[in-house]
Amino acid sequence: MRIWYKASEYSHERGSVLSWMISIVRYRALDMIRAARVRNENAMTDLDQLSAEIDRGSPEVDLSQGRERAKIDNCIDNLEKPQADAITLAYFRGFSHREVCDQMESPLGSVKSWIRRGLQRLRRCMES
Amino acid sequence: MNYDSEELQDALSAEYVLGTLDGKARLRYERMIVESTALRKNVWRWEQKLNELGESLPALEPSEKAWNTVEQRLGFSGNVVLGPWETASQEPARSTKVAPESPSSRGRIGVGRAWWQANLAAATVLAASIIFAVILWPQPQAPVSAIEQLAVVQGAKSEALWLIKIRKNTLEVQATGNIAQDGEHDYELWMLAEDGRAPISLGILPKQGRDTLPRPALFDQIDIVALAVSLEPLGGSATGSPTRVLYTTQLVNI
Repeated sequence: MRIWYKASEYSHERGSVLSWMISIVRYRALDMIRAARVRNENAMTDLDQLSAEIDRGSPEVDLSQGRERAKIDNCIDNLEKPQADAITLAYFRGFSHREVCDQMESPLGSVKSWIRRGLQRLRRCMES
Repeated sequence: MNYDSEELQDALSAEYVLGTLDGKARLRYERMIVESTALRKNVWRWEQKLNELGESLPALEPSEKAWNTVEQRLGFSGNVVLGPWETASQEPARSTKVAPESPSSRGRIGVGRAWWQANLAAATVLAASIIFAVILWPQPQAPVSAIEQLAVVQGAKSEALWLIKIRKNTLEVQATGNIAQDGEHDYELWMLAEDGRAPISLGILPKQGRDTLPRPALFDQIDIVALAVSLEPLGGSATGSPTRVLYTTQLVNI
């Protein structure tokens, strides 16, 4: 819907059309994730139903196996493993810092540092 | 916090695109992006870098149900229906195709949220398919040659509220059926200049039907970074400034 309404806003400065569309869709999905989090913090959920949803698994793992290699993959390979894991979890699963902490069972400060430094290294690598 | 630091701006832009800039900080940064061309371009650069992760994902055909829903919501067929996120009783249109059957130890996230997380990557793939719709579907008929710029004001759920066509001497505004009919307030349109001057009123928007507003000379003398719609007392702002900004949108050159 958003892509339709925003179609004429695209300009070459936004990069490839696909990248522009991915941004629109990701931001919308992130909004939905965060909104659902707020709702669920205020309501008890059925644990059985919840488990069934969660058991659908880890899309980033599945999809990463089917992806073509891109320059960013080589750059991510050059990151320290915790940096790469934290960035990948945030990109594909929309995790917040806190959720990456929970998933990686690591302190918040470490996760923030991995992401911040990982992104810096990623930029340097991709611009080299 | 010193937002003028180039290093900080770059770090914030990166985490905005990644999604780890969250909550109030994210909302604050979104407002800064609207106001600053430099920040906007920085965000775009990060989008181009990080979205390489999504660009090489395998293509996935959206389900017929998803297509039908999109078509209906855009008004191309039948009645408008609610999306899967708008009613708890509907099954998500497409989740099992991309979600592998592996266990997860996460136990505190809710159903709606889990659905969106499972589909974040899938949604990225879906974007590739939607482009064909954008290109191939017929555009609404309009005297395109007479329109110089266009803007669509959207609500919180992406629903179109007003369509604004900028013509040589006028702003032609079409209200949609999605606008709350508030008898005690008016909606006022403003233009926001890149040079940071106070917002400039363009007039009161219609709550239904069409209206034509004059195009002020200033419209062509300043760089307009965005249009804004505010909620005002009947008759418009009494102070000359927007009372409560509800929506912003950008002009699109035709």
